[in-house]
Amino acid sequence: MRTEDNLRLFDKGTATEIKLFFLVLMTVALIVVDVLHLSAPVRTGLSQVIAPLRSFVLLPKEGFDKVSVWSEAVSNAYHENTDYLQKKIQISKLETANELLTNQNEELKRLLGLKQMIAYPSLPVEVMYRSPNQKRDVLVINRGQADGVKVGMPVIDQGGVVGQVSLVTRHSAEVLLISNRRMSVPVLNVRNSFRTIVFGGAEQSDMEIRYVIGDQDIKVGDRLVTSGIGHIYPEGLSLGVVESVQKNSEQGYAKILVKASSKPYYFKHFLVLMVNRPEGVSSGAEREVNDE
Amino acid sequence: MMSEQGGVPNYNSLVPLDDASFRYRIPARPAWITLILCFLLSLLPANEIAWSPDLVLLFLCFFCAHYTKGVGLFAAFVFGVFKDVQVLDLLGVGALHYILTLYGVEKMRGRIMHFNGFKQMIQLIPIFLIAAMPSVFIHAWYHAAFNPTLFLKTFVTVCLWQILTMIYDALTNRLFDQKSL
Repeated sequence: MRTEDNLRLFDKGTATEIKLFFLVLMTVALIVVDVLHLSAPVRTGLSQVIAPLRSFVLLPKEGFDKVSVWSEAVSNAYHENTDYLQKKIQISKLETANELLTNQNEELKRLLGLKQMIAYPSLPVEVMYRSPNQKRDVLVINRGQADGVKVGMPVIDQGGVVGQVSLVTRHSAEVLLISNRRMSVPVLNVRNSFRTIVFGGAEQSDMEIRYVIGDQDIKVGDRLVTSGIGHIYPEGLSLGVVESVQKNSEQGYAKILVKASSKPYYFKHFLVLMVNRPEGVSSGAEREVNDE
Repeated sequence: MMSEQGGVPNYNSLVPLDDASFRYRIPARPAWITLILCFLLSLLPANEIAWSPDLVLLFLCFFCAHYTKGVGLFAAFVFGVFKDVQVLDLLGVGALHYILTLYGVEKMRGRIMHFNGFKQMIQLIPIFLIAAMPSVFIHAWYHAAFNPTLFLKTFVTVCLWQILTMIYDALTNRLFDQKSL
């Protein structure tokens, strides 16, 4: 006589636990690979699969945007024109002064034997989307390898440095904002030319300066610009303003918070500076191991 | 039970003990089309809102609970990895979340499918939330910041189970099913 056990007809008897074990093992492997920043090929490949799907899904939105842009175009053009006329008058006033200053500056630089500041070619980019569940500090832009974007290139807006390209696919790129934990930027204090490094990942502000001994001359309101050391950021880009200096005698180090002069959370359009990095220089934001 | 009388088996009584996988099955093709549509929807910017439901996860679980062919742990893994790339998260975190949730649903489906949608939902809430825990903790460890958004998202997702069941029942005229408890 058969028992109930072997009468279970059509029972699949799947080894769900074994499947679970192997798949969890794979996810753990993926996590480890990603933590070690070795996952760039996987990410690049998969984003190239997703990119066309994404643009397909966003087609209706693009169409709607185009229509609304057209309908607003007339009023925008009118306002912009009046603004432009006003600005033109102001600029013409400044222009004369500027010419004088530029001449003087060049003269002084020549006298000092300084290297001329290079104007880098730049590429306007648009933000496609931001990471939904990190602390707002990773963006995806709509230009990639095909447009000449490379890992490590700085991204700026009219206020100064916004971030750095950290991963490039064919038609898109990931940008780490300066407030990201993985970012560090070499800067110069404009007031006294004190060299230091500004780090992202500050809790109460955009950035912070770490490990500065209490008696260093950094004051609230000091302007910080990139120093050009490290060959990643060109010299003289505005980075931020010192927001607060807390001298903590217990720790031995001062806690210095820096407010970004750019607005990384506000605009949709940025510029990527096409800085070609010299060989052998790597940046903190990099995800790739071998840089082509 | 099978009974034999005079050597002739009575095939009418040859019913599998667990017939849930036949009674509740959703055919594969519409299910997969729905899943792919959900994935496309998840690419929209609306997905950035913290309380927006994870439709891919919801439908994966729904079809898994309804014994759809091919919707299981491996599908969860693939969709999860794609999600991770899309939301720029640590690779594998979303996949882990999906796999664990699907495993919970697969273990529970034999027990919960006899209940109505609301009771199913009540029983699935703890599964969904527990399955989200490892991902939240790995996320917190890597980003050095605790971000409970995933719990919120998961909770909103599982709350849609009831609505989804109602729609499904309406589509298949199972509203007055005599066998449901």
